[in-house]
Amino acid sequence: MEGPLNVVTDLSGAKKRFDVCIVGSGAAGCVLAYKISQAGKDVAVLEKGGYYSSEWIEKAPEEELLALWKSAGEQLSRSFGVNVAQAECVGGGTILNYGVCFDTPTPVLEYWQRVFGFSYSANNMKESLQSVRSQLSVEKVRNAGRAHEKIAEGVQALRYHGDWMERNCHNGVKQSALIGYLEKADPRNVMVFPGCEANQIIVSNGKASGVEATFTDPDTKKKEKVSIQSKIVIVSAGAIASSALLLQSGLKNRNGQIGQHLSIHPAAGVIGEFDEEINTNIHLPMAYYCDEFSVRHTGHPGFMIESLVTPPFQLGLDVTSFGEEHLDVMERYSHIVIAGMLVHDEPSGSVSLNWSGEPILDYTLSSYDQKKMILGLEEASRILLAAQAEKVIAPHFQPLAMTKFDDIKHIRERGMASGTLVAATPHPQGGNRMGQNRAYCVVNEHCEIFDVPRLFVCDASVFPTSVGVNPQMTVMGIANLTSDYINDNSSKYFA
Amino acid sequence: MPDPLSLTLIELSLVTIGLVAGFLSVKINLVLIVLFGRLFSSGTASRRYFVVAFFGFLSSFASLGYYAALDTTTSILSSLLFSIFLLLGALIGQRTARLGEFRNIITAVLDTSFPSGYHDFPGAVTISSVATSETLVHRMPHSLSTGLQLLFATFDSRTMVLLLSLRNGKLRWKRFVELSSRDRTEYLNSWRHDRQFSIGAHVIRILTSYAYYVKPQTWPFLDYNGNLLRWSYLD
Repeated sequence: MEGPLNVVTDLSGAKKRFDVCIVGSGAAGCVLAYKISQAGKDVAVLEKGGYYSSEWIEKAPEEELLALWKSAGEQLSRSFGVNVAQAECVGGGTILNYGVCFDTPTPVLEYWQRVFGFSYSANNMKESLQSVRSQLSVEKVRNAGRAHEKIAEGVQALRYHGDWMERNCHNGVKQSALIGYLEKADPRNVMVFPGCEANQIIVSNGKASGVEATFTDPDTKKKEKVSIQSKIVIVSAGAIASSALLLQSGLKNRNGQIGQHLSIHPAAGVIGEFDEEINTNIHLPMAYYCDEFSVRHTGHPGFMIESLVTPPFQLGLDVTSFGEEHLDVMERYSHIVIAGMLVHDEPSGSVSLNWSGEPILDYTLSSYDQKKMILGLEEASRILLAAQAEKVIAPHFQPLAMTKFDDIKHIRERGMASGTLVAATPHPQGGNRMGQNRAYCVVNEHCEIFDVPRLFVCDASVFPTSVGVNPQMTVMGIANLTSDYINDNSSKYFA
Repeated sequence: MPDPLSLTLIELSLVTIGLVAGFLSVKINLVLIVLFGRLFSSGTASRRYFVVAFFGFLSSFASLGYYAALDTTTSILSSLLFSIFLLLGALIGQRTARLGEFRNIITAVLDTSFPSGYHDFPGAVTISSVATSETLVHRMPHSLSTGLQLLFATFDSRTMVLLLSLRNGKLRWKRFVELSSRDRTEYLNSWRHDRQFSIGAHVIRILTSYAYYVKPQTWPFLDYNGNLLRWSYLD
């Protein structure tokens, strides 16, 4: 698998001492590696997953694309009630996501500043996000296809607030963090270690000094222990894995906050079935959003509704029946669009370790978020009916099909008790809160761990609360600012 | 200290009780899942038996010392014997709980969920969906895959089938894999309709839906050109 990166496939002879060791090569890891290496520092990027070039992705059978996902795409919570979808490959979630770009909502930033002491001002963040936009060629979606236009029609018919999304795309090529950042870094300064799982952070004299990891040879699959020495360590393994690594490194008891206050943006999809075929040859899974009820428009945590066309295996999860009843719905695949609803949830989850050291996710939807979920499903259904859907199917385990607006009331009647409907999440956030108060935060305002100098955490796990929109821009914006901080304080960290 | 004959009887009793108790601990775990509708310890099932063996050791040591008036060394050795056979009984129970029969169960589930010949859809079993679902499970972390196999063993158990068939006004003392095709569909939908087990049904759907619809042989029937996933990664 070849590319412009300096990818380590053989440990013998590979350098083991760097200025910076970054664990994880997702949205944050790629930005950090690029920006810090640009300042002349040498950087190691450890990535548990493999390196898959665009050429490989283009040719691989759909079944083999599973290799890019963590746990084969199945990261179930302890109660099995929530499935968290995360990537495990160089480029991380930005390879697998739909490239949707939303700036951090101002009310969220203000809340973080007011309550947690998030020190970056709205202007800092705006400039940082603008820099990311420029690097990734963020542009508005055009000609998304009939399926997405149907959602737009429904939103407009109800006079709700919505618009076409923005995506990171240049000349028809999605600008993942791998393409937009990591592949543009100087390969003399950045070494990427795919198939290298971080096991423990090395702490010497109270300071981070490297990472113990296990490297798997891509050809022989032989595992080998490796110790990467560095002047600073940045953990960017994503919410869940970052907290897990800190816990595995024995940092649990510092203030008991590691792994706490996790959010997931619980999501559910309402299926709209139309008379006409609407999604043949659709290129974009996601294109239009309605933020009428979201923090972007109201200033308060609510929910977003987004147009969604998914591959059949994902749609199959939302069709809750079995056998012929299931196939009857799936047969209409080309007539279907989903109004995907995403709740801006409270941080009511946590990550801990089981006896084997594997991360365990616990999450219960708060009663407040359950109400938002019900409202969200009602509005998603309303949008589809306003778009003239023939039939609207809510994602309840007990089938709920609606054909007129009056049927929407049945959603509330069903309620939201456990075991009522299908929920998933691609956006785990939190677990290593960022802020100025060391009593209830894990990292300070520059993403450095309070109790361990030279150890940083920089990814979605540092969000003090969920962000309420697709989070990749916020992750990259914070990574941008963190790398600026590290570069501006070179004498402190690299002397 | 008891006489040699009594001591032999005590040891034989410990071996027998240990084996039976260990065996039943597996069944009790499955019954707990049936009754409470959730997995306990989510897949660290094997390690649980060591915990059971440890507490078994402690309780037998206390009992032997108090009731059988054995000296400390004999109590320790006897308790160790009890714990070993407790563990052995649990391992035997685990084997007979058909945790190793995941393939048969998933085949039956796939065949029921995606039968051959309905509106020309290919049957899941004919397009190697079984192998795909096994690959999916093996790629998961050990605790999750063990938990899933436990879930499937519960799903397949006679007790579970009986419980849900009674609710439908029928009497079926059979494993899921032994049911007729019609009864299997009814049983699967019973899991979906029951609030306690609907999450279990959803987990089953996650596995089976992926294993079926990721196969190109299904796409012509859906008018799906097979490129959306790839385009979402690249375009």
